[in-house]
Amino acid sequence: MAFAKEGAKVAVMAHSEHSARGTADEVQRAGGDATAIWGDLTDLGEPSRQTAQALAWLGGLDVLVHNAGWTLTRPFLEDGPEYWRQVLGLNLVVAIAITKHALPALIESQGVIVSVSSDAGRAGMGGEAVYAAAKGGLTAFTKSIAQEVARHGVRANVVSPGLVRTRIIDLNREDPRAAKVIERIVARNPQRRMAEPEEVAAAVLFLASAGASHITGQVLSVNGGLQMT
Amino acid sequence: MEKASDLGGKWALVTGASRGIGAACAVSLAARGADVAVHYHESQEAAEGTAAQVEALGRRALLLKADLSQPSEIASLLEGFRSTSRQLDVLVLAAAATAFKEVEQIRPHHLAKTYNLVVGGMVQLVQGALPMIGPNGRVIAISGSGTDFTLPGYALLGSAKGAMEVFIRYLAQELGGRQITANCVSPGVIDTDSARFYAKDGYPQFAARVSAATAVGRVGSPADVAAAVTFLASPEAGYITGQVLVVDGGLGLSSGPFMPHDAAP
Repeated sequence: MAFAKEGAKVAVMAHSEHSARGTADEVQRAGGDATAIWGDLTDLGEPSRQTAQALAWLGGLDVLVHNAGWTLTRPFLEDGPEYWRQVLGLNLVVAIAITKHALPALIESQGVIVSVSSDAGRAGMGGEAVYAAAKGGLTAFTKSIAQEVARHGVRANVVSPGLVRTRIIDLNREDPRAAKVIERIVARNPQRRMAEPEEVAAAVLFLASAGASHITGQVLSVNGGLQMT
Repeated sequence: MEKASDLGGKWALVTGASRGIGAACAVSLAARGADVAVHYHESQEAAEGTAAQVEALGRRALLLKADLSQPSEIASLLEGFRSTSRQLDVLVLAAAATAFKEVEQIRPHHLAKTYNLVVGGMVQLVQGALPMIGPNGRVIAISGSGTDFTLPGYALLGSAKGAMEVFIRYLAQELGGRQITANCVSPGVIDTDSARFYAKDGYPQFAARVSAATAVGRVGSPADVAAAVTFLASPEAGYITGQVLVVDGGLGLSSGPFMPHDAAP
């Protein structure tokens, strides 16, 4: 929505039709231009198909935002290989695959990548071990891409949120153990609150803007002071 | 991103605003709608230039002269500000001065000058300013890459800026409940009078070497740093606190002889 408000044409890519259409419709209702693209993002062929569809519709690419992510909050010993595959797929592999297919278009436009990672990947997070591993991987991947493509005029940065008031938090709160973890994290936060999604979007938008043209390979946490180093 | 009235009705106080990064911050904040108190120490003419740019944007500018290594002068500066406004929304700490010395050449007066200004001045100014800073207030300090990397002759300023980063984290923690944020912006090499002073007579060669080692292939401009400061000052950055935002064009991403372009396809 933040990009649409700035006049950008937005290809909304998502795992589910419901999510993709919901956001694209919202953009259109606000007078913006958006298309919805969806499909099972844990299927390795899907990111390349979605990226090709997005590039064809957009006719070029200036900003790529890796925002897809999903996790459950539960002890690592309860996790198994199928869950690992889903979490690594949705948080990390999809971003690698989309970058592979979108990078030539970004090089052509001297565009920008912003990855929405997580402070779990920066500091670790009990109850979200595999998610933290995936997000740590996404952060390192983005910094590495920043090094590789800087001389082609492409910047890549990471926005690293703490807790954000989203549907995934609501979903996890249904499990009383997870609800307790979330409550503890909010209580420990210097600002005693979660971020609003718009506050994360503002950081993404800034890093994508011309004002941030000397910022690349960096991690900007939007976390109310939860992690500082 | 440019929202002309975001900071409308707000007051910013920028230290070291006569030149370089501080001046760019003052102008950038004014462009987003803030009235700006322009602090300077010795460069009155340059400070008047900054104030003129602020006023040209239709905002109020207040010139405040002070040696920030002197407690009495900080008190006067705060008094001068209070006589114009009882409310301060954005405090930007950009003032710095040092002697670039190898560790064995540092003398007590070098230490006193750098630390009294960068650390002591910061603490006293923040303490004095906080009663005027309400919810959604911002403290933004300009640190530097000398905190993460060792630079020749930079031990004094690098360590003082390191203290600055730690102090800002404590501030962020303590002020979090009041929804006041405190952050650092850490520039790499920026084209300023200070960088020229640091490079002595060899600035063009220095800038060329830095550009070669910087991912984006250029030295930064004061406006690059000011854009980050202005973003952190904006209402939408209210959940960013205790952070260090590096604006170095990717200079710190390379290690030793492995320049970023070596990795490019």
